[in-house]
Amino acid sequence: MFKELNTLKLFFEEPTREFNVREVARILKIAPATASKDLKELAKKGFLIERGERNLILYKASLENENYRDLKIYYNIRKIKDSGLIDALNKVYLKPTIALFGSAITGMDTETSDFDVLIISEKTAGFEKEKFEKKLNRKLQLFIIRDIRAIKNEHLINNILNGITLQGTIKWIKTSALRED
Amino acid sequence: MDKDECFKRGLIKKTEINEELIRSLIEMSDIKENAVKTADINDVNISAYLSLAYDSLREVLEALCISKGYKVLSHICIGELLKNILNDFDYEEFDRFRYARNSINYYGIKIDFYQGKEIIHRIFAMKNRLIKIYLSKFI
Repeated sequence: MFKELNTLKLFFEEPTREFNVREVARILKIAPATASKDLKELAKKGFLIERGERNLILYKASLENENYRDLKIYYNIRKIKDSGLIDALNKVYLKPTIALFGSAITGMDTETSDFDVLIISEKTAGFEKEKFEKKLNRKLQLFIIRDIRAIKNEHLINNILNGITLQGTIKWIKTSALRED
Repeated sequence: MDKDECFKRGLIKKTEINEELIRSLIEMSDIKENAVKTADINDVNISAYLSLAYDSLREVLEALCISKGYKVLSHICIGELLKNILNDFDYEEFDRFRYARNSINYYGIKIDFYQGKEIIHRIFAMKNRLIKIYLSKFI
């Protein structure tokens, strides 16, 4: 699977772009014959869509494919964790609850999509996200709140509830210790 | 490090249930809580008081471990043990308190005043809830 991820990385980064075999070979620094074989295999498995144009074979991400989306979600989570964003948020917000939601957790996100990140912490002061936007090559939408119940926008609540918790837990109903507050 | 690793490393040991020690730990914990609650806390000293509040909680958690027949020598292992033997132990919350305390004690992080006050409040809420449920018979 990790070998597949190595090739699919290009398509995860730019899901709307079409790549030809030579481009993939050049970017991944592999032989064109190897790239051709790998891409054909990925298209056969449904991860990629293949089409011919003149004498070129072009490949692009198959966003409708469930297997593609599953790996893309994994890739997004891994990418965020590897970027150091979680560690940086921990330093500022003292290990807050962090959840990813929106298109990134459906695997349907494209290169222009934001990463929507929920942070639950007592402290809501700003976080310098620009460095991580550069690293991730995506805009970061940080929703920093003290309590999940403070959110009034129903659409946002539903999106968050369908998100993936990267750290901590989201508590709608608090334990008795917290209800005593 | 999980519970089994804690046992393997000797950081959790079986022990006699020592009621006097349990009472003493609770008493010391209350002294620390009282010290925090009566202190003139400001944005300069908040970190020190958060650390003291955490110590107060840790003493109750140690008392709780002893009441279940365990002596625990590490903060991480206290959390690992309690999440395994208590159904309602909020491990994530405790782990966050531990993280905040370590940030102060080991990395010199200065805690934001409002955030510190909130965390102190929640530390004592956890502490007093656990005493009420599990340790009241020893008091």
